[in-house]
Amino acid sequence: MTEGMRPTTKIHDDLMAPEVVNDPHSYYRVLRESAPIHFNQKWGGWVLTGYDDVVQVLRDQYRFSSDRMGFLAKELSDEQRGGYAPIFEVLSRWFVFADPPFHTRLRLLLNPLFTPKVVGGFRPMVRGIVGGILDELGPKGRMEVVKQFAYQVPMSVILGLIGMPDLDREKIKHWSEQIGVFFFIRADEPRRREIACEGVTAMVDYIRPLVEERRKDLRDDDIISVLIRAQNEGGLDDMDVISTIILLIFGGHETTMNLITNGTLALMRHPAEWERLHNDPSIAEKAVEELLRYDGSVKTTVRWAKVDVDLKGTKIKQGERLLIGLSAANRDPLQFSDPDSLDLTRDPNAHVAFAHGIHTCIGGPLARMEAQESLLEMTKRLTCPVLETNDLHYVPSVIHRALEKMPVTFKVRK
Amino acid sequence: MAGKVIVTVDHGKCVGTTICVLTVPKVFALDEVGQAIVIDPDGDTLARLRYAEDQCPQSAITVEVPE
Repeated sequence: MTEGMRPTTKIHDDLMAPEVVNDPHSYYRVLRESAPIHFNQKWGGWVLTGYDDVVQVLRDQYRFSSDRMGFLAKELSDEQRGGYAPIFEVLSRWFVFADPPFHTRLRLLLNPLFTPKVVGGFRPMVRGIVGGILDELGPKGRMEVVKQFAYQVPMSVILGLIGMPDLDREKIKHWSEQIGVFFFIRADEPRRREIACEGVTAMVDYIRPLVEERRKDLRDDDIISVLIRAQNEGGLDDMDVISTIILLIFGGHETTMNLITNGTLALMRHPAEWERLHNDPSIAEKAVEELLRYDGSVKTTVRWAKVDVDLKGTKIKQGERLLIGLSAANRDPLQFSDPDSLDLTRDPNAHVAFAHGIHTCIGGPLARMEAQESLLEMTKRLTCPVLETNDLHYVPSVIHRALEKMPVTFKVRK
Repeated sequence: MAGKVIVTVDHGKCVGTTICVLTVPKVFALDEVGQAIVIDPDGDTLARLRYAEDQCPQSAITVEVPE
């Protein structure tokens, strides 16, 4: 490889630097302006920050692979791979990390459970959950938004959809976080492999008997039953079923939790917009699209070049990886006017917060609805909250845009 | 008599999930930038068209049957 031939930039390559984790938008703006297709030596791959390039790669599953575990396996020795065995067993079956045709079978199987129409049917239930939480927290006048609010809503919903008992959500949350340590690239955690293996193994052991129970007593439309029926038709094994359930638990709550938190924070930093949503709930759909664009919960996603690719004159070699800057694309001034401003009724707003192409988030309609209901109910009932501290900490991750904690105070509207 | 079915894709919403193309391949295809286009609105039954309309995560497809 001739590194000297690659476009260089004065910006440093440490995606984990505190100022980058804290304010990724400024870092990615400089990168987009100076080198929108940039080889990051430290991360060991290309970083894409321009909207057009991001969309092009996301829509090109022919030349860009999502087979994360396949490419990781190639980087590891046999011994290292052995240490990752439980993770490989499960994550290599996640359709989010798979190429067609494995991806497509599961996507088309599960897609009917997450359509806008189906999800719309859950709206009253979600409103009830949100209302119940606020009934309890309102009189206290303060809350820690992440744990007490933003996490509770999606966790309740996804466990219900999957058809899992909601008895052990603290355990499930813990294992989910352990798995997240692995693939949200938490470089601050030296034991990330062991921790993730522990989380995956515990989750598999927890879910396996639930699946076996459900096999004897199939239901109409819960996700476990849908997967078991598909398994009976052939082509899926036990671990495919268990792994997909783990994926949906994970995808069903972490990212939505962060969307609700980030959205709340953005509105708190623009109190006039908080009041605007309160005064005109009809803008909720557009408002959530804007919050997804402005500070969504997934900053980046990863692809691997299946073949040599020429991207606007830049040669990307087969096997090289690309960090696809979703948040960066969402702030590209060539696509969005005044991109660093929050405008709750922005239109058009073709953001890439859920990615584009065949891996577009299957839970997008659900996340949208949960965020709409959460923010509608909060702005309806509460005055614009105030941060208890300005010392906010984001999880040090290349991929996640996740606050550790967000304690706020507020008043219940009269 | 009912008129011909009208199928449209809103390219402001379509993100190229390809679900419509996989669901009713005789009706939808992808254009050069990877967004769905209608190649034959009569390529499948109305029920299948309605199904494809529902399946789009972006609600980008509209199927209309004129009175």
